Amino acid sequence: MFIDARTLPNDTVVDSDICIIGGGAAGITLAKEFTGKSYRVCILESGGLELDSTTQSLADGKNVGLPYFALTRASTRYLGGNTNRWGSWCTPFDDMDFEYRPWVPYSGWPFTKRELVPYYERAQAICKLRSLDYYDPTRVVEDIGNPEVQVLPLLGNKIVTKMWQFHLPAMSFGQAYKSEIERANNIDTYLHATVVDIEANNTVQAVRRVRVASLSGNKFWVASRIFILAMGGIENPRLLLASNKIQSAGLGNQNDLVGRFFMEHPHLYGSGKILFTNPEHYPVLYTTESQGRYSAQAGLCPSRELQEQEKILNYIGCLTPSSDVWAKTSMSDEFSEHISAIVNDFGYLANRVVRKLSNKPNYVRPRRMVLDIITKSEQAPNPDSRITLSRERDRLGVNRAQLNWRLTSLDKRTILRMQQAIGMELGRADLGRLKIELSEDDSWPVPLSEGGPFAGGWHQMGTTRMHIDPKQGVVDQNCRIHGISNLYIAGSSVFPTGGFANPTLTLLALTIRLADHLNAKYFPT
Amino acid sequence: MKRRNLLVLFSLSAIIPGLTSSWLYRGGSASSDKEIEGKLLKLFSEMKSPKVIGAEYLRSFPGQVDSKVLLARICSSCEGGARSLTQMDARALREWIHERQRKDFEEGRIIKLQGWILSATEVQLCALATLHS
Repeated sequence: MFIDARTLPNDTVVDSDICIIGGGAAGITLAKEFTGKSYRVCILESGGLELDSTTQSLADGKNVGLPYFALTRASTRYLGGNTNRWGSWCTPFDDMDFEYRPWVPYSGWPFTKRELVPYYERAQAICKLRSLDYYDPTRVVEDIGNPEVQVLPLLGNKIVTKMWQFHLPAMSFGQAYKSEIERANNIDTYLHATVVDIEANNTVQAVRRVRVASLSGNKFWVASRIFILAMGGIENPRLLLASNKIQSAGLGNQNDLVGRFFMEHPHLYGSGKILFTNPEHYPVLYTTESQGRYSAQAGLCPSRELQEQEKILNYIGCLTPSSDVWAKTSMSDEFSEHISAIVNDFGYLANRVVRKLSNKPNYVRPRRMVLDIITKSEQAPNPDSRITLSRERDRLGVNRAQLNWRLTSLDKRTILRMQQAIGMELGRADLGRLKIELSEDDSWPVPLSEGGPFAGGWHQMGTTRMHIDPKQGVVDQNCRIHGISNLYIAGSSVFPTGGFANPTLTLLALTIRLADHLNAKYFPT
Repeated sequence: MKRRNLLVLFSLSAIIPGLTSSWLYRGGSASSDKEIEGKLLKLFSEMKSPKVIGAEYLRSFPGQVDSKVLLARICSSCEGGARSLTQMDARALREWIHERQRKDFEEGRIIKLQGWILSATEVQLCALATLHS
């Protein structure tokens, strides 16, 4: 049932067994897992069924670090959350993303990828994707069955091909699962219900109830056996920090970890150009064109060996026909035109075509294929990259979030080293030449908002990270906040590391795992 | 050559780039150098672009502003030495260069010019074009 929280009388107390705070991808997935059970569930969603600017303004905050999207746009406050505007990019994390890597400080999850595999399979179904084996590029190419669609013949011990799957048009969870949740007898969804405080008991070992407010001015309480925060990588830590009546540092923050380790996937829309010289291997599978045609797209990643050897993070580069208007017929700068000229004198075309054509009177130099590289890179966990509270408060009296996004030299070096490795592999495989369009120092290019290539990926991770040791993590391996018996977190804020992969599929897998854990622990059949 | 002198030479070549390969190459005559150089430069379809790229390369590697040094580097991996290149026809020579380019990338002999990741062989060929009168 859907309930408009604006109609509830002041100080109403809603009783529940499980209270899910947030109606986005994680919240809706939890609700689906709990549907039809014998216990009562309530979802508290700040927004309604559609975007509303007044509600959205509650997400406004301050950005004091690297250029980032306005916080009013970083999260989406209506049923479905950020799935109302995502692109359906889905791929699981790599095995190595879960491992401790000595060159990546704070790396390592409390379990391996193997633990999540059965949950990834279930997450695939929720996202209406194909099976997990469709992340094997060989399998994808076989299925497509078009000889023009190939995996690039690169050396697997350096550069590997990884796949995304898509369900297009991208699915809003709010629209796709609204009816199912509305019909569920044991689930009440309160819309226009913003949690403004979490009230713990005096010893802060359990949550008693949460205070909920609507923009109409009324306030009520929700008491529950279990509470799950599912509001995303900015709002989860914000609410914990703001719930500071008993523990002044905020709930779960006894070791000053809440809000720290904010991670994104630094995106560069044009970190380099590829002059592709081998038409037999044009990388259509690696371009955005492939999404619509095949519901799949490939990218270029470092192998495990390369990551270990070069001590770099994970990364993916995908390709797009160059946005540079000159690249259709020429390169954008004179020096690049000269490179383009000489490469074809010795490469594929020289050996197969030029010899035949160059003696003919009407010979025209073959057209080049120029591609831009779109980089999406892992960010190293950095405790100084963080969410804190601003002194400003929103209309409901909650301190706004303040984001200080920071990157390290390892983040930049990863991208530079990968560009070089891809360039070397393209040359070795006689596919073309790569131009790095990135400075060699630690600075980052002009942000997208100012016409440059640099931006985040709309992926907010790590701010309530997972670790078995409460001195190193906010939640334990079951996503329960250390020290608080009945408060859990679902979503990408629990990620200890972020890989290169878009977080949705992995956060859904973790969420399903959490649902199974709660069912087994609290409601065994 | 005495072993001791060879060791001294290799030590010096670490300080003076190109010394070793150019000394070892000195077996060729001036006319065979010209012949090899001519054959290599004929592989380019035009000379303007190689000269520009070669000039950029030589600005970064002034120690190689010498055709002999460049030829020695380009020919260093050729079985039978530089002389065998003079016996190749244009097609065989182009294929040899092509394979050398691939090996450069495989073995890390790359040169970065204005962001471009290039094979050492291809830029050294361009440098040869730059020095060619």
